[in-house]
Amino acid sequence: MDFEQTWAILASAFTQIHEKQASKLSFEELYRNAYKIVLKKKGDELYLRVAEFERDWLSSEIERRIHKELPPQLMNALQGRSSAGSVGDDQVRTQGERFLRQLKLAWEDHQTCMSMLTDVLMYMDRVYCADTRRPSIFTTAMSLFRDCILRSHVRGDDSWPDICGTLNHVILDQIRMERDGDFIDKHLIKANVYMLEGLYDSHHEVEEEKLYLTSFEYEFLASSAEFYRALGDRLLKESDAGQYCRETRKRIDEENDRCRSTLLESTTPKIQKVVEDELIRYRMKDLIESESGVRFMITNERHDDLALVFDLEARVDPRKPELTKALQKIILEMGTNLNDAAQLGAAAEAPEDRAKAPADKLVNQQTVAALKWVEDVLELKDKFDAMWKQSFQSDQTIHTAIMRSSAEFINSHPRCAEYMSLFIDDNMKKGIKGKTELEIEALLNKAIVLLRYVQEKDVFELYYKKHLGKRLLMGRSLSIDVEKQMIFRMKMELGNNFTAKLEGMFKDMTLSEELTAGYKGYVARLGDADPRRIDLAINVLTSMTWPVETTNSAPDDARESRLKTIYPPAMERIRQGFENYYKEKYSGRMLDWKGNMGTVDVKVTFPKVPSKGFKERRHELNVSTYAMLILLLFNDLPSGASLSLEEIQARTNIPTNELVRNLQSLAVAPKTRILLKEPMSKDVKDTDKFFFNEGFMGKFHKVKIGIVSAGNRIENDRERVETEKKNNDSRGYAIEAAVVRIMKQRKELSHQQLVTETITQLNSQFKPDVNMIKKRIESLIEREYLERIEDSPSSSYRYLA
Amino acid sequence: MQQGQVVAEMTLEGLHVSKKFSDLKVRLGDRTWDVHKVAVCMRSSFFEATENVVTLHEDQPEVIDQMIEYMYKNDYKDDDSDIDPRVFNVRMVAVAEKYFVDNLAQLAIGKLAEQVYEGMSSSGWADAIEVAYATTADSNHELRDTLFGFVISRAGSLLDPDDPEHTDFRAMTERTPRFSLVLAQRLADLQRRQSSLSTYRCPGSDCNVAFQTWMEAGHGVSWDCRECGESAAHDYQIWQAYRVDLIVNEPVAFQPGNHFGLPW
Repeated sequence: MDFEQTWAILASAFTQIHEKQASKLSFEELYRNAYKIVLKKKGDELYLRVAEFERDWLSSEIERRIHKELPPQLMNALQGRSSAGSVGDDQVRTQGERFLRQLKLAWEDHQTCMSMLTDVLMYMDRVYCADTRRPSIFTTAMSLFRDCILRSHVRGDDSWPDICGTLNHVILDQIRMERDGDFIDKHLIKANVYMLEGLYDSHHEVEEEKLYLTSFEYEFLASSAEFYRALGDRLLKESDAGQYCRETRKRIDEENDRCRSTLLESTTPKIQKVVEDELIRYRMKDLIESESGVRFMITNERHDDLALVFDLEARVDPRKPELTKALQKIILEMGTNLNDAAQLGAAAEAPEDRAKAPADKLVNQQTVAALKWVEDVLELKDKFDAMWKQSFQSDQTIHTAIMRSSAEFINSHPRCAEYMSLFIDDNMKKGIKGKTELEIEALLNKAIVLLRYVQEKDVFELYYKKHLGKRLLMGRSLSIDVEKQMIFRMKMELGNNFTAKLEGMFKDMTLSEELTAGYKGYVARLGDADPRRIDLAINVLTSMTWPVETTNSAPDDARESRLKTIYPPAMERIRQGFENYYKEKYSGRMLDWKGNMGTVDVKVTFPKVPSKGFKERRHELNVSTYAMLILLLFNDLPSGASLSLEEIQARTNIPTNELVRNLQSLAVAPKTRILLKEPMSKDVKDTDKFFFNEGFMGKFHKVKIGIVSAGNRIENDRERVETEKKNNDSRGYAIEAAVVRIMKQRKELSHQQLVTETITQLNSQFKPDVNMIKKRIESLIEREYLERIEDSPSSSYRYLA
Repeated sequence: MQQGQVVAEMTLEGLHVSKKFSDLKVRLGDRTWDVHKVAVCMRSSFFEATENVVTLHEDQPEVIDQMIEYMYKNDYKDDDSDIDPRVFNVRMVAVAEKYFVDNLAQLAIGKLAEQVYEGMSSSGWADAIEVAYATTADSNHELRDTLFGFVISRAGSLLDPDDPEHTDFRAMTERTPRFSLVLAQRLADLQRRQSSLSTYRCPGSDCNVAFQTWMEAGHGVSWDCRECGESAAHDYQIWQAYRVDLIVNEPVAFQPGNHFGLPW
């Protein structure tokens, strides 16, 4: 076998294959010849000759064909790419496409020819290349394509980029056109991308060295970043935030599509990151804070836009820091506005009206403002809750942010606990009227949600007890059932401790009903059928359970509190009767009668007043127990005689403040003027004289004489100071109890640890003040519950049993 | 039995016999085989790359015939022609290599290996060796080892210039220098090893076979006797009981035994 002769046969066949005239060739003959060369140990030479053959073919014929498609005009346009957009864009594009087509063709031809050669050279590949660990001839031929074509320079000019660089430019230029809204030939680009994907930067065929990665992708990502940076600038200036979001979403989708149809899917995450960085990550803050940003969207209820903002930021950061920050800021601002409005509303008409309007009217106004505040807070909360569900996919992070900033502004209102209790009070008395069960349920839920925000749960409890007490005793609740539901919910939310006393109040009420009924039966059994018998309805309140102001009549000084109210004999008999009955049932209990809390129905006959043409009139008056005592005094008085305030007090022992209040109701309030006062004025003075008003004229048979400030309303300043003091006292006890509990268990503890543990223990009730804790600790040391540990590095305490 | 015929045709072998649905013609000289791509192209990368007619050159029709037989039946006959079976098998290895027929080379080498012990004339072996070195790749070590299995065991007489039985063999060595070179290397290697050999007799009772191997304490050797069928695997200590001190001039069989317990 002569090598040269045999090779000549092969070489001529290879030429025909490359020129696409292979149909007449005999595969078996070529195969046999190549086989024989290798069998005769000339594989090395054959391999080199084939490579040489391919090199020649590529760098003469193919290179010429490719370079022909790169006229100077195109090269210039690609170099000064900024001008490509203006002049002759179409021409550049057509020329670019022709170049892409030619390169695609060359690559596909090369692959086809090489796979035919691979068949012919099978024995060389599998025996010679395998034994000598050479790359297959196909691999070598692919590298040759890279070296001879992609790394060649047009017209041998090194100042131009090589074909590979030019290819990048052309593809990037086409992508730019597509981004600007043009249609491009995606398949053409994809074919070239496949070529880059199939070639490697060096003869080590490692994944990271694919030309697609080393040559193209990097540039694609860099130019895309540039493009999107500019787009971001423009959009922020020219569009509103909603449009920006929509555009960004569209662009991300477009890039995904582009990777699928034009480039490679492996690029998808990378280009996504570029777009996300340029349009979202680096812009989110500016976007959210822009004029048409999140604040605008919230104000104008742009739920879809908000959802877009959420969606965008969630893409780049699961914590959504910018949106969260913005929401918190906005909620806090809106909340603070509500707080300010509430204070303004409470104080609004105060200055000019103070002289005319009674102080009570002012208080009522403040109560209205307080209720409005709660309604507003609920409305704000509803608004953000709806937004949370509709726009923020019920996201946990956003929820926490909304909760936190709501809690912050709610608690920054100093009277939030009182206002919330008032709100429930108002609903229990009026609000739930005519509402369906579902609506009531929703209302209760809202109340509980608000309660969750209030930090000073102990203050709330204090007010709730007070308000509930009045509702129960005055029968002002529309539904005891709803009241109990409320308590049940509080119990679920805040635990047994919180509601124990509240439940006790209900128990007292039930028990009182039984007592009243039982007493009625007891009286009937005594057989005392007094026709002038007085019906008695009694409420027995456990003193520790009920709010202090209910059980103590809050006398102005201690002397008065020791005085016992004087009841007329008829009343006294009943009182005694009930006490006997009660002591029979519960021996050893003390009953303390609260004249300030009860009401009495009194039948009054007003005489004829001929001078005014009045006939004799009968009215049934509903008055407080104290008012009844006052009125009864006038029974024994001759017509026209008067009593002074001092005289009334002396004969009844009613505490001064209560007396003044009752006299105001009876003698000042225009519609219920059962008594006449001399001199006539709004204030009640010690020296005022009171007469029975024989000329009283009422529109209805029944007349209710309300006691001033009987209903639940906002506290005035004096009451508030009192409440605060009471609250501080009870907090003091709570702190002491906690400290002792902790120390009993731990025996010895540093100051810092003790304070921390105390705060932790009490956190569910209120946020203890550190100074208060310190004072309580001091006091416990004085009382020898604790002692300071001497010569301890940090100040520490020991429990003294 | 038309039914049976249909069933038979449904197998590859059946199709081979009936030539039904044949879609590829293989030609060589004046012979033509009508074959099926599904059988032939599946087993050969060369035929996979061909079209519907392929004309072969420079092959033996007898070998090609059996190669095609193999493609259908997974086996072939090496004694169905005038060619010496050993040469036939070597030629089969060559076409298996040339046309990349799956697993055929191994099958052929296996058949050849069995013939090593059949005690046929050395001239057939000489031909087989000559063909092997001319038509198969040097990297086919399995084939070469098999051939040497025959040569080494009787190198003494094969290469004895006074032995008239083996003149063909010696003539072959002159024409096949590559084989001769490797043979020389192998013999030298063996010499080196034999200097540390001891002789043991087969543990089978009433067996006269002795064999040589090298052994050290702590290692073991397994032995399968061709004469009596005894199969033994013992460690050094036990083998010492079977050691014979005289050097056997011409052992009945030389077999290195399978060393075990050794680190290589």
